[in-house]
Amino acid sequence: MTDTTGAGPEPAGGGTVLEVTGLHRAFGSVQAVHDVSFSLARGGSLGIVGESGSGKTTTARIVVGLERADAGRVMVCGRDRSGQPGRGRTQRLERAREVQMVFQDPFLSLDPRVSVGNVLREALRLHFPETRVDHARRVGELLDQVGLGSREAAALPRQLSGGQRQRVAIARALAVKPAVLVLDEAVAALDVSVQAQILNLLADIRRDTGIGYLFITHDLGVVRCVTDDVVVMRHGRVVEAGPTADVLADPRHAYTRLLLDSVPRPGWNPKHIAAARRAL
Amino acid sequence: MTIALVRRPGLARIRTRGSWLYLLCLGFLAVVVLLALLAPWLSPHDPNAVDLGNALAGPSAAHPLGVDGSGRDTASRLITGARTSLLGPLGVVLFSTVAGVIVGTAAGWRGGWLDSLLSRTTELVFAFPGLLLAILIVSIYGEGLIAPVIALGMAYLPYVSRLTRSLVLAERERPFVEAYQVQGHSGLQICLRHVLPNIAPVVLAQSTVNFGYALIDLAGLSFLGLGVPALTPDWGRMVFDGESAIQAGYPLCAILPCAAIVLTVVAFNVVGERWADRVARRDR
Repeated sequence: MTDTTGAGPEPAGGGTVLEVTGLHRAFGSVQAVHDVSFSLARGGSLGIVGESGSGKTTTARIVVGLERADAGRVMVCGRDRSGQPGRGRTQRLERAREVQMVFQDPFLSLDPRVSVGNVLREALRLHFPETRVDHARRVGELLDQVGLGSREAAALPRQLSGGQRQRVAIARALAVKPAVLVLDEAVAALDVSVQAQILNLLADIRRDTGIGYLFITHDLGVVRCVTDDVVVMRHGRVVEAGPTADVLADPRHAYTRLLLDSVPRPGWNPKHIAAARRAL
Repeated sequence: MTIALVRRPGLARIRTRGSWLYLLCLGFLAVVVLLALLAPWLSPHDPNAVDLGNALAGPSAAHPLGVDGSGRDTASRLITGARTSLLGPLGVVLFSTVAGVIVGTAAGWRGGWLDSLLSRTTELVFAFPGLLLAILIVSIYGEGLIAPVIALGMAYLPYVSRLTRSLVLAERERPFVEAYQVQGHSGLQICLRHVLPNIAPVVLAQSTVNFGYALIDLAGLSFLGLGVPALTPDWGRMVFDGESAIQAGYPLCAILPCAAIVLTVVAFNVVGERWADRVARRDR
C-alpha cells in the first residue's frame, strides 16, 4: 500500500490527536452529555461504550461537528473545533480533514443514485482538486485498501451487500485522509461474520495509516477486539475509563460490571441482570 | 413516503386500469407535440386565410374538418393552434417548477425564519384563484401570452414549492446528507448534486399533472378573450370564435378544439399520475 501515511496535519505537540474536555450538551431538560472528557493518542483507538441513551452518539456527533456542544472543548491536532463552524470553503475542508465519520447504517449513509467510484471521486475532487489526473489511480487504491475490486466501482449502493457498503463508507472517509475516524456503531448493522471482516479491515487500516479511531459501540466484544482504551458512559456521564484490557478484566464501576454481565452466554439469567439494573 | 401530489378531485378519479390507457395517452401526447412542432409543414392551408364565401361549409376534400364562421380551415387552425396551446402551459410549468423548486428547497433546507417567510408568502398566493390573478394581470398589461403565463406560473408555484419543501425536509434527514456534510461539501453542493436529483422524479410528475391544468386554465382565458391576441390560432380562442357557429347550427369548428383540449388534459393527467405512481413504488 503506497501513499497512505501523512494522514492529516501534524499534531502541535505530543502524542495526542484528539482531546475532549468538559463536554456538555442538553436537549431541553435532558442532559444528554454531562462533563465528558477523554483523549485519543495519535494512531490510538478509543472505545466509548454505553447503552442506548447514554450519550455516546451525541458525544460522537459533537466531535464530528454535526452537533454543537453547550460547553466544553474539542481539540484535534491542537486546533479547537468546538466553536461555530466557519462558513468558508478552506475552513470547511480543514475541519473535514481533521475528523471523518463512518455511520451506523450503510444502507442509508450512501446516496442511492451515486455509484461507488463516483462517491470516492467526489471526495477526491473536493479535497484534492490539484491532483485531478491522479484520481483514477487513487480510487483504485482506496477500493483495494478496503478490499473491494474494480467490479464494485461501477456498482450502485443497492447492488452491494451491507458489508460491501460499509467498506465503501470507510473508503470514502479514508479518501479525505483524516487525522481521526469516528465510527458510530459502524458494525452494528452487519451480521456477525461480516462484522469480524470489517473489524479486521479497520485494524489493518489503522496499522497502515496511523489514523486514530473513536469507536462508538454498545458491543463489548467489539471494544475488546479493536480498542486500546475505553470510556464507559451512562446517563451522559463518564463512569469509568482506562485501558480496555484492565477495564474489561477488572471493572470497578457497578455499571461496567452490569454491561459485562449483560452479554448473553451459557448459564446467563436475564432476571438477575434486570434486578441488578434496578438496584443500580 | 407520505407525500402526495396535488390532484384536483374531478380528474383524479380517472384511474389507469391497465397500461393500455397510459400507452394510448402517451401516444396521443406524442402526436400532439409532433403536430405542434411540425405545424408549418403539416397544416394544409394558411390558418388565417379568410374565405367568407365558403363560411361554415361542412367537411370536404379541400377542408377535411370543415371551416369556421370566417371560412378559415379548421384542421389548419387546430394544428397551428397546438403550438400556442402547448407553449403557454409549457411556460407556466417551466416557470412554476423552476421558481417553486428554488423556493421550496430554500425553505426546506434552511428552515427557521426563511421557511416561515417563504411558506407563508406562497400560501398567500393560494388565497387568490389562479384565473383571477391572471385576469388581473392581463387587465393591467393588456393581451398577450406572456402576462397570463407569468400570472398562472405564480399561481402554480405554491403547489410545486410545497411539494418540494416537504420532499427536501424528508431528504435532509437521510443520513447520507450528513455524511456529505462531514465530508466538507457545502449545503449548496449537497442540494444540487444529491437532494435535487433524488426528488426530481416526484417534482416532474407533479409538473406533468400541472401542465394539464395550466392548459385548461389558459384555454379558459383565451375563451374569455383575455389570453392570446385575436388572430393567433389557439384552441381556447377557437372555442370562443365557434360560439356563433354553434348558434348557426354548425358546431364542428367549436367542438373539435374542445375535444382537443379535453383529450390533451386527460392524457397529461394519466401520464403524470402514472409517473407519480411509478416513482412512489420505486425501491430506493
